[in-house]
Amino acid sequence: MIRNMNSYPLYDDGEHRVFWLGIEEAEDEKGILTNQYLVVDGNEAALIEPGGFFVFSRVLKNVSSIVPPTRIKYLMYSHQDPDVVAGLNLWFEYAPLAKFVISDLWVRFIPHMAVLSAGRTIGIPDRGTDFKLGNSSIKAVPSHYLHSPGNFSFYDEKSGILFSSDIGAAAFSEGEWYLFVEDFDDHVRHMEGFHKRYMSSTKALKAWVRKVRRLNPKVIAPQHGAIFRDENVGRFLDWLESLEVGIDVFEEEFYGE
Amino acid sequence: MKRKNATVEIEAPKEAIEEVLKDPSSFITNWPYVVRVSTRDGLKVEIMMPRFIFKFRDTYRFEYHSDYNSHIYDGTGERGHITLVVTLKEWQKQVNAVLELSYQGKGEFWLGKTLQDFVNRIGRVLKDLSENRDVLEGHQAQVVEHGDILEHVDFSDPMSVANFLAKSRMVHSGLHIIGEKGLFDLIGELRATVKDRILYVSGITNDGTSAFKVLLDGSRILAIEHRTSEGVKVVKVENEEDAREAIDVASKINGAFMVNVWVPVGGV
Repeated sequence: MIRNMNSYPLYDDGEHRVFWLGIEEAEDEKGILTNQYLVVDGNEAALIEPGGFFVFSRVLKNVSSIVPPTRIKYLMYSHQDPDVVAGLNLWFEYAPLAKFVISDLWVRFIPHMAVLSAGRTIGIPDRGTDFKLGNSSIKAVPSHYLHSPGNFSFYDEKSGILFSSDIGAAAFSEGEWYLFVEDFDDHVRHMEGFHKRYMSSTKALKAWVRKVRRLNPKVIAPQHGAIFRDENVGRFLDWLESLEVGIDVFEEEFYGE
Repeated sequence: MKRKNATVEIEAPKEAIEEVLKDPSSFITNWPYVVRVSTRDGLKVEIMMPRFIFKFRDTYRFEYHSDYNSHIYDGTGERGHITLVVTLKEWQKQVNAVLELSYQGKGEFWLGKTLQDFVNRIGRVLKDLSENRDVLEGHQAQVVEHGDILEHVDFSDPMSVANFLAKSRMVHSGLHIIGEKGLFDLIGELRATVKDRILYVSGITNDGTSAFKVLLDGSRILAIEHRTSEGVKVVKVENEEDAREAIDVASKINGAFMVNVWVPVGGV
């Protein structure tokens, strides 16, 4: 079982810093380990994809070693899956000044997490918006239907890192884990099955790729799997563009038509 | 060859530290700057330190040896050879781990400071893993097995609070002014609308400089935390003296707080 309790710096210019926050595998995750990220600009921080209950202890420890949790301004959720939001009520208490950022589509579901969140929730409109963090800006990039109908990636303009939600997710083989993609062709085998089944629409995928090419990110950091950088960013986008996913692949198999 | 040393004092039984050291796969995976691990066909680990002028990056195949008091992790890379020797020294109730890291290979003359930072961080990892071993190994089971989570809430242990919150719901959230010794007035007000016997009440000022958490069973404080710019005071009430101290902490809480109230639901 892979467990790395340390954070790892992805970007640091002295004022603006980005960290990956460690990893640990639950028995039932079947190799699809979750990544959490912290963006810090001056005295303000944003926690991207805070995660569920069983990663909470590690994420809190790593966040606290970088900034006091009271400095967290945003808890940014790409979508509503349990591995993203299940620790929401814990962060409600441990990041007591933070606002919850999630697609407008999911705001009405937050009370089901047993919190009274009206004053602390920011619903992201479908077309996306920008969030100011210190002297920097994090852009919510529409990623709808990839896979959730209300889904966002988050682009940290200063570092050039795009946090891509489940897009780019990979399932590692047993006894194997890496933080950065080095051998893209080999890495494809860890991504292909997940993308074909979980991503809903080929059209949505192509639209997202077009949007992301315009942003020109230096790094793409998904919520599961490994991080793309350098030439692998382009190779990843090319691969996505050539992929058929979701109902376009499975219509006949599922519905027999 | 470059050698750097670090010594860490570990507040855990020697046996617990030995357990961490005897699992090289898990221990080395938790070394700082590890970016790749493969346990198929032996243990292979890539270490990449990103922030230094001379980029320290290599993939090592590790072998582990131990004798009666030392643990040796011997890594052969493509550009160099790295060896960590950990020796435990037990004196009275204190255990010190002495770590010696040696590196031979590309850039060794430029890496003095980098290697010192690396061995210091490995020391901290060993300390963390050893001191938190029970939590790391047990927290999955803890969630399921502990029937009485309430008794275990201790504000110095975030996971004990997390266990409680995971089975709680928020019943109130709002801005409240707490006057001198006024926390119990606030709790009295809250009890007018919230009928549950067990209450978890937390508050934070708008600027985040002051915050409190209190867990109550009726009028009895079970645990309390008060955080200010001067420091943090935490009391877990287990006897009368703790109870007096908890009331003393509560009496010092005052100001304008955003207050949240949680009550337990099923299974707590």
